[in-house]
Amino acid sequence: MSDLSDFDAPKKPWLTALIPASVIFLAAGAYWAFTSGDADRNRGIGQGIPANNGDRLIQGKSYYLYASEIELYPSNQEGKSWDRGEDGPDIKYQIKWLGNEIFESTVKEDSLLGNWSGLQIDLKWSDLLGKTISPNEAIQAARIRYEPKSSIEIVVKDSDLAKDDLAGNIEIDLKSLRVGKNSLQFPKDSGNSVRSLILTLLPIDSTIDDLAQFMRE
Amino acid sequence: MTRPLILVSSVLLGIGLVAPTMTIYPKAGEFTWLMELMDPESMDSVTYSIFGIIVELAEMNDWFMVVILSIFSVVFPVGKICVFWNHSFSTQDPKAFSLYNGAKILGKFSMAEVFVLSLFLISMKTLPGGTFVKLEYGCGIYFLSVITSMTTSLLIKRTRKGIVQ
Repeated sequence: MSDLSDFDAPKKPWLTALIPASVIFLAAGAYWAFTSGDADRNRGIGQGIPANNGDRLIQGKSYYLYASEIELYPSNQEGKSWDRGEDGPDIKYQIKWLGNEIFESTVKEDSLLGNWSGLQIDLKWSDLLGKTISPNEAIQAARIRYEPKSSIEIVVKDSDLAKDDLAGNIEIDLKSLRVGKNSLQFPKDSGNSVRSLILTLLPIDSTIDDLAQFMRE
Repeated sequence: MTRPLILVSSVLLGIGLVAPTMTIYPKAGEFTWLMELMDPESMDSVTYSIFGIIVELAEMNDWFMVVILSIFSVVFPVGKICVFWNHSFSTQDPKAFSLYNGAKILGKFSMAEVFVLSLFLISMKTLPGGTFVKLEYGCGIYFLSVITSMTTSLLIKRTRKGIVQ
């Protein structure tokens, strides 16, 4: 051996060379073990429904209101099929508040079950050249202010080229609604063909995160 | 002095590989609010460690980059420290010395220093749409590991010179 002067040299140098490698992997493993719990906890905080879900409406406060789902009965108020042939109804709805129409939805064609997300942007190619869009333009919902004695009307129609057919005209007391999703069921009669309605209410001053979470559901 | 420094460098390297290295904050210019509404998950900030970046690349099946990053950011720095440790026991052994020289040459190809520097430069620059990168403490720990490794190399070199003289 040529390293006789290295009296403390190990007999198997390559075995001892694994010591720093072991230290590296132990340090990495220990760090990972200590911090992985924190990461799980942090992930949990970011999820979950907004804190104000299910709260009563506050007097004088403004809210976004839209129907996130409308289901119609298979036949119209007269007990006939919705459209000629076998086509389903083209559903749209309007919201009236204090006697004024304040919102009209887009049309969901040939469907007994219409869904609206509350977010929609119609961009043309020319808009990409520099159109600016505010958050209010993207939110497709009525804006109302809550007063305990006030009510809203949801007018559901089967959209037709000639004349829209009424599917149902539903009046709802605002005090019966809560923040978040409100699921309502209706019986079929000569004046109503709307089976169910899910109304979503969000405070206008909600954070972007809360709005996004509600509206994407 | 050399061996404790190597151990310190090892601990720092181990933590530096798995600790958060950088956080990317995505922005989409004036449409940031819109993206946050439409697709909030894509606008969440993402934190990566060096090990995490390698795992992410593997999940994307980018095996070329996985191999490159693994070799130059993990295997070489770890191998270099192992050689330094071995050399600290047998400073007069020609075989150990040649290994030490080999480690020094391989060390020049190690991306550790370049990696830290490029991260630093990226963090200084604002990316398109206002996206920005913030360096996390893991980068500092990795950088300290690089510094202690370089100091070890200098100490070994000095010891060697003293012996040769």
